[in-house]
Amino acid sequence: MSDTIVKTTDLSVAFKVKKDLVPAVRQVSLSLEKGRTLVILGESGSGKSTYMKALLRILPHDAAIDGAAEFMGEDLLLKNEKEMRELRGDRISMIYQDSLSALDPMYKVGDQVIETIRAHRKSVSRAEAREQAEQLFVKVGIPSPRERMRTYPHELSGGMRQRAVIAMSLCCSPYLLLADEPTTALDVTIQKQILNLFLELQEKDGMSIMMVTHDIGVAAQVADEIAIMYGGIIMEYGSTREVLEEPANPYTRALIAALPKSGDRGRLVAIDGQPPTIVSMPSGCPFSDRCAYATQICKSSIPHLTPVTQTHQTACHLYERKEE
Amino acid sequence: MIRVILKRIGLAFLTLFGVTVIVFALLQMMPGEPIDSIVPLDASDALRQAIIEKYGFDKPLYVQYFCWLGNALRGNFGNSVSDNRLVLTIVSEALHNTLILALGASIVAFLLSIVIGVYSAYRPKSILSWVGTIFGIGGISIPNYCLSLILIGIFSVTLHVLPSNGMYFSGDYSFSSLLRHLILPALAAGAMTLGIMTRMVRSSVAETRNRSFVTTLRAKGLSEPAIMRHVLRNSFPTLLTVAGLQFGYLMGGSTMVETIFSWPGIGLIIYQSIFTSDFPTTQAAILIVAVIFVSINLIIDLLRIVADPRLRK
Repeated sequence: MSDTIVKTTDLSVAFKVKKDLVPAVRQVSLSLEKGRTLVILGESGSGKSTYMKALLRILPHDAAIDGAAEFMGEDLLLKNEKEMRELRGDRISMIYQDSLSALDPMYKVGDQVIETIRAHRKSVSRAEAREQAEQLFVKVGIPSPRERMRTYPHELSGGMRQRAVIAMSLCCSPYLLLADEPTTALDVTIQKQILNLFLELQEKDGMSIMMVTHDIGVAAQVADEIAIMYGGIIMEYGSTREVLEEPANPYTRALIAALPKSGDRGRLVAIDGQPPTIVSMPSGCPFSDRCAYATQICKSSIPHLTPVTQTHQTACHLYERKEE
Repeated sequence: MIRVILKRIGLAFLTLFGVTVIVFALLQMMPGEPIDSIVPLDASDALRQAIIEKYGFDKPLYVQYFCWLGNALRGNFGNSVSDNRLVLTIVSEALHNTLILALGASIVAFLLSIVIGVYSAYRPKSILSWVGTIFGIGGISIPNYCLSLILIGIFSVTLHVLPSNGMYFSGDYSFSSLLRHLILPALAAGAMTLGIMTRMVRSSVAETRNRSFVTTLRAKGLSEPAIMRHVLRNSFPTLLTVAGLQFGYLMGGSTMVETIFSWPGIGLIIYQSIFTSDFPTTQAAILIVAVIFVSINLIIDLLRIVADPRLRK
């Protein structure tokens, strides 16, 4: 039996804007094995969050999802709303960038965790759920959990709040954790603690993590595999080492070159131009407008992922040509 | 938290002090000397002088003000100039009648607006949502005296189903008699509240539904009714504020509606007392309306602190 937890084949998401369908995610094929971490790296607007929300089917109603998405052998796109609801927060759960706006400000954090447990485990009594929530708070490293459970979200620090959100996401021991920029809103030191917490929890429970971020540093710390996303397509996909050390795509190279290094002084190397928005998408490779190596074919046709090694793929016309 | 509460209470008292000054000054600004409404024009100068001294009109204004304020604080507003009854009795009876009208108007308006508003926030394209829009615009734009006349025209003059004036049928002081008299003025007075509240409920609930914590609630697998409970809980403080203010306005007595329907409430008392130059009654009625309005505001502020954990510090 294969240990694939989640697998998408040509998954596309388009939003209805007036009468047009505007593509946000285009034919994304990724897979994630049990106990591993996949980081989707990309700039804002690249479609990475939309892709994750599409897996959980929590996009607004004007979003059209196409392609195939499998979770533990089940077709996610064939499930009805009730079946999806049973899955959400139970076997698949999600963590967000801004824990303050992700929690309901009117309810105590403990109650929000208890509510999630009771939504999925009908037989669990309130008192038992409270007990479980307290253990979860201990597990994610929240000191004096009993008091913390009685506080409102705004009374906690950013790090504690994100831990509470993580506790909530773990309450039904998920197989897959979707994390949408979980550390972006946090201080660097807290960021480090939270990332270590993820790795610890993964080691203990063997869950798979799919994380979205724009921070290469974060990706390097936690990822087993990295997918580089740009303009709704996957530009490069492979093991962390290969993608970061032997990038085969001009966009990945430009992204890595733009990282400030210690000892660097003066101007940062930036990528010229702006990333395309979903309404101003080039018809060919989305990076073609900013790419120093762009040729005629780059402007007219979208490149597809081609293997570089067994564990490394890139989507670039230049690379395809080199192979020929 | 205690400090916040004390600050609100302090502010309320400061407002009330300002109100007493204005109410007192109003009397001074009214055309004619106040003495003229008490003393017949053909009275002898000696009598006139005696009354001026008895009422203290010869004293400096600030002394008059503090005398009046001191008496008002003890509930002593003197006697009505027109029928010599105690002003306090007149005003409290009127207040009682206005309370009935305000309760009737607000209960209907609040319940309807919550049902229509919440439903149309969830189903913006439904028929009920259109009804809500019509209520919203109509309630706000039709002046209540117009609506009063339209209602009387339809239900009293044409259909003969509801009475057009007073609170009771003569000799029939039953509850059903009161209720039948209440329906039309309550509709006329509550239409504005219904319009404003429907729009507020709709926009507040729709806005809350778009907040990101609602996505979290969906992502953790809650059912739609459970999510709705969170949404309503978050809209509640805003709605409480608007509802309280609206109730305050209604308690101020709708002079137009009360006059048209001869509803013996505070609005009608103010209207009549101005025309009969019954200045102690005018002053007392305006002051009490202001006190009630400020108190309702204070109560809302305090309830908001209870309702919204972010305000408790």
